[in-house]
Amino acid sequence: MFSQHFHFRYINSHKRVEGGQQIVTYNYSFRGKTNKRYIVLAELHPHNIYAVKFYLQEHKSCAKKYQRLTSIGEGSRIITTLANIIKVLYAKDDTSSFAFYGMHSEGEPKGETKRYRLYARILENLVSSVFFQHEKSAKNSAYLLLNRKYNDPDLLKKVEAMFKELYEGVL
Amino acid sequence: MLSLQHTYNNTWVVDATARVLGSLSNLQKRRYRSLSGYAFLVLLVVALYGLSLPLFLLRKPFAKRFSKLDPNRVFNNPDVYVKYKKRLAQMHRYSPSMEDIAAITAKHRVWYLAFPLKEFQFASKLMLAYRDGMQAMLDKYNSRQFQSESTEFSFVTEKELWENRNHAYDYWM
Repeated sequence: MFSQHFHFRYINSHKRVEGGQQIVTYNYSFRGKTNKRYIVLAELHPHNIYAVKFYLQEHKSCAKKYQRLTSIGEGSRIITTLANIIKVLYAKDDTSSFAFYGMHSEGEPKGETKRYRLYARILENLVSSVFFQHEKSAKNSAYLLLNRKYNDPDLLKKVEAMFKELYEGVL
Repeated sequence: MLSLQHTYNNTWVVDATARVLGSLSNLQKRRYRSLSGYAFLVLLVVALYGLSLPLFLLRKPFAKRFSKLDPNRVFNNPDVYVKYKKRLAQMHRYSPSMEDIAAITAKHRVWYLAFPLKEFQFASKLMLAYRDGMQAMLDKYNSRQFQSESTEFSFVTEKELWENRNHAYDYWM
């Protein structure tokens, strides 16, 4: 488990301004074992925080694309693929931090979602605390990996403020 | 007197030291009066010198290397972190033995064993200092580097993460 991943490729990047903040989105894609294509968006926020999101390309136009469950059964390989994308981003800039949000499925409450429980378990087992400060919020289904090399003691405060502004209802 | 109440763990160095010290304890009580007993004493003393000579030769280079460790650069990748954590766990297991050896006072040393016992003591004290130094380096990861007054997020300490993780997996980062 968590050793095999799908081959992924970089597509493009684009910038946008949201809530007075510049966000650069790096797009990646990979195909699963059923040849279905997944799109991965790595959004680079101020203070070098990446928020990584992914969805099935066939759900691209769906408003709830991040909430849909595929039921294909390739979760561990998808997560390992995302981890490898994160490693690529970390290799580009070793002061990057990462934020994860466990989106609730339809009908599921927003707090301590099953996606959050999975992400938290994986991050606690597979990311060491030597390079990242682990912060978790079960109530908000959010998990932060704050890079210890980032030279700003107020990083956590800024991340909280940023997400409150950008993602209404997350915090 | 030399205490042998603690159980020693299965490493040949600690085990050998325990047996040798136990034998010494008996010798000091002059239980061996026969010729074979004195021959055993000679062999024992030679064995002790044999064990203590590498300790004497390696002690200073080890102390020098340890003093040059940069706490901010020791754990430069996850594999090194895992290696040090395992080493630290081993050190904690051997600590009672090392503390016993470090506590031996001069009055308990006989003249022909002064050098080996002194070397064992120096080595034990050095290993205990190494253990404390490594623990201090890791302890800084048990407090928040980035602070916040808000209670939205809760900090997960290094100790908690290590104790709760599945050690079959390798770290990604």
